[in-house]
Amino acid sequence: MLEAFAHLLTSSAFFVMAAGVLVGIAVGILPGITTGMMMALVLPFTYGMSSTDAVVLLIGIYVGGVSGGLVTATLMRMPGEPNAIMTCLDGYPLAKAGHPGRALGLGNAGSIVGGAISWVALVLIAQPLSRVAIVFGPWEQFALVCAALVMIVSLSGKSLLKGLIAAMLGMLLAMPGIDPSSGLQRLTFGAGWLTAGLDILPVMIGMFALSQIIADTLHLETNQAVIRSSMRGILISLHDYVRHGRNMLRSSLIGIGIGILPGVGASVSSIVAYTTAKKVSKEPEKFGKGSEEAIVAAESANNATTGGTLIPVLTLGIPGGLADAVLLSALILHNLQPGPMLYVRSPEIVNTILATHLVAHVMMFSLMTVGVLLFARLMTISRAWIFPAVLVICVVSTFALNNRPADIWVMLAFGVVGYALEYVKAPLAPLLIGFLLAPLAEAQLRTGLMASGGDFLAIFDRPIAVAFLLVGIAMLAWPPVAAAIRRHRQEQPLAGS
Amino acid sequence: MSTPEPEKTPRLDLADLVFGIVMLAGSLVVLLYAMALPPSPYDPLGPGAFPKALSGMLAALSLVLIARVLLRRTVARSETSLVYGVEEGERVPLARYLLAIVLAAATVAYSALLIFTDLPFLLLTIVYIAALGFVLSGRTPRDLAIAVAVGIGLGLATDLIFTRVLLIELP
Repeated sequence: MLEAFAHLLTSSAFFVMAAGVLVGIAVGILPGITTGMMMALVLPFTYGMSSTDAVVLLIGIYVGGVSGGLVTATLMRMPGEPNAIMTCLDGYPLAKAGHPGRALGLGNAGSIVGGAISWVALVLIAQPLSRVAIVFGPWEQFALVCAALVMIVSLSGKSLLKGLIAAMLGMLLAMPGIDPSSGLQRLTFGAGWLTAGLDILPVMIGMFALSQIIADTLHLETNQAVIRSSMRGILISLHDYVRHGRNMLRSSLIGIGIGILPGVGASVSSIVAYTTAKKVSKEPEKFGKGSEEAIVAAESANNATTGGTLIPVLTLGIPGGLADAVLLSALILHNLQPGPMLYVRSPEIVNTILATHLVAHVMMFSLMTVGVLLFARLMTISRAWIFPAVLVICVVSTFALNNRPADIWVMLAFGVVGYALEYVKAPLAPLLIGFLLAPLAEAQLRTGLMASGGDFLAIFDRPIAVAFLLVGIAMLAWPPVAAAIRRHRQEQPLAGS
Repeated sequence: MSTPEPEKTPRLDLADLVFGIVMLAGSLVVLLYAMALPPSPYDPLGPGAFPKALSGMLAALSLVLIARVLLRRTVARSETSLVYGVEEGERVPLARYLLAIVLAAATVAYSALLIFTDLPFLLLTIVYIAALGFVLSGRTPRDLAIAVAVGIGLGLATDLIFTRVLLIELP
């Protein structure tokens, strides 16, 4: 690990990380570009980099992006990043009351503390968990992927049916191409370019970048009022850290816990942390009117999520959201095997990821403290000028991966598909994770069946695999059971009256 | 505390119905193709088993969705999102939809010209950024001047970054 920290201090790695954090903060501030979207756009350009520089850049963008949303939320009442939505509720009123620097300072402090606590959790939890996961055989892997997919579907909200449809669709989209076991072509429908299958990147860029721009075009802002910021209060005192310490710790733990769950993400963690802080606050009436506790809770939680989400990616090779999916794709693109074997075969990559997560938070804190006035200027750039440039990057980065023009059409088509799915409120996370994990699930199932001579019941001889399957079944069964309980409780008072 | 959704809905949800039908049709096409795949001599499952199972499950789930819509049963919406700001049933002015269509059409045209013609990347990118930026802006004479300047600036910058710094092949 020390070597990884030392590597980050070399000029090239430091430059790459600084560039990543700066781009991330800018993306976080600019409404209309999300962190995951920028990570996906940058991914093809990392192909020429070393694998360590690639992960340094992506983690830098991730950390910067999650934090940058604070500025727009506080000074414009508009979340630059969706996870900053709770910060809007109190950051803006506090800024409007004449304390913009204080609001930004509290948010920034929450971000660095949340990031640091999640780093500790990442270091403490990830390696022991990977040691457990390393003994997993094909049946365990298959059952784990099934359980993870069901969990993503189940946690995506009330829509179990649409979540399952999205997950199946995502898995099916991963099927065309050469069958890895027999070498036969399947589901290529006679299209030569489909022989290599659908690449994850055009699908991701189309579904999350293009469809986001289409959605944003429908809501292009007119002139939005921006509060003029000042540096006063941007650095909060040690006393403030002590006063908000318990809130920071509690919100960070919420962020880490929610981050580990697949498909939930920083937006939910900031909402849960905000609600919890309000419940335990001595001044709950101040929430929504510029409460310092609220800003600290929301920002600590969303930054803590970054560490939490990395835990399943590093230990199990299971991503929970778009940013982790991009990181996982980056590892695959650089011929690295995500999951527990990463600790064995490429410990330098794991250490680089861990070290970058911490150092990028420190860098983010420093840059946000020193350059917040400069960053705030980015908010005045109209999206009319941002969108065409981002679309050019969408086209070029899609093509750059394989030099395959068909990928551009795939990207454009999935832009429409992504918008349509979002329109009918089908969750996109299960689709993305299904697409990413389907090849792994299929390969593990087929390996398991080959080892057992085609006997599927062999899975029941593996207790860990059975446990994963039971978790999956429980997650699948819980939403209808919970709905039935709710209905029953609602009917009881009526029957009694 | 959140209010539970009502079990029945008075109106037919057309968007969900279309979604269900498209998913059902797609899954049946895949199922037919997958059933025609030959078995593998190397493993018990073969190349068709997974696509068959997935498309079969997708078809069944789509049927459930269609049935729920036709029976006017509530179909819950996802509460999490990865594309933000898309609201079902939201009233958006027609001009905004036209703007989104223009954006999509311009991007398709830009991609087609890059792929199928020999027109230089720099020229196409300058024209695309300037034209689209102007359409998305307030469309005043001042915006036109800004659009041209932004088009030239960003066109040159992207061309320089892609070809000189990142050394990537352009379409």
